Amino acid sequence: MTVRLRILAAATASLGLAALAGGCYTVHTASSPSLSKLKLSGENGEIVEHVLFENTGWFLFYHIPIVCGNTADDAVLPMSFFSDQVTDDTVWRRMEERAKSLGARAVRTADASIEDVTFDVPGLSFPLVVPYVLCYREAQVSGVLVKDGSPKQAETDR
Amino acid sequence: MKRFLAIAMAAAFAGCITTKETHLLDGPRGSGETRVVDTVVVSNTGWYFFFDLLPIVCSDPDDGGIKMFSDDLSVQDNLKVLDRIIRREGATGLENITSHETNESVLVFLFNRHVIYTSATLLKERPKEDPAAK
Repeated sequence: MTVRLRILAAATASLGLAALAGGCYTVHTASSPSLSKLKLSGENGEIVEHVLFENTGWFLFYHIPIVCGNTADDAVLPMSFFSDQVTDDTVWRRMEERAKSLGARAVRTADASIEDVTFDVPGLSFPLVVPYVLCYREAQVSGVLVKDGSPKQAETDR
Repeated sequence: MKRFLAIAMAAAFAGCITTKETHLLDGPRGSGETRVVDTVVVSNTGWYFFFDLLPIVCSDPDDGGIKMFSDDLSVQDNLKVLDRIIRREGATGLENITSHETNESVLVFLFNRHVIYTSATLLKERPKEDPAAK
């Protein structure tokens, strides 16, 4: 097999692997009795949950989305093709929606954008680093969901 | 040699829950009338096989050991550990609670290592100064 064919085969295999690995949209929610008793600095409300929302995806030439985690509520497939949902905005919006569904407010405490633009093409007999061909991206937003007003007041409001 | 390799492999692949704490006994003032009593970072590691399809090992937040073939890597588990520290320190407030996850792959996606970190600054109300002491 010529070197060109090898590279083509390896690139195809990489794309296939990327599609197989897919993107992943993950929501972590955590709550505990001790946490809800604490007062979050700068906030008056009650802590409902500590949350971490993250989405990952694969991009061709850095800009073209191939596959990423599907953040839609009514998603049929866990992954979404050719749409870029690995953004801070998308993930943050999902956190706000979660807060709204619990009658709370989202307080963002940290966010992280991670990317990997070098990819060792598998299948070659030597590691070939091809930057910006196949890129991996990750968006993470962490925060606290806070319910304003005391539980007593909330009951009166109902 | 074989035994050593087996132990090294087990250690490398084992899940591990780690807690790092910084105690500031008369620490800097937090927001309002509070002081920082503890800064905590909890990290929880898990290993997965083949595109995360099969969990190999992750740590057990209840007894600090490991769980085989269990997919229990979550922020909730980190919070369990944080919860114990909150109760131990008698904290009344919280600042900067954040979580993030890191992912590493070995042999393309054959083995994956995930770590979830949760960090927080615990606050306690500052005892009111006695005006008579002045």
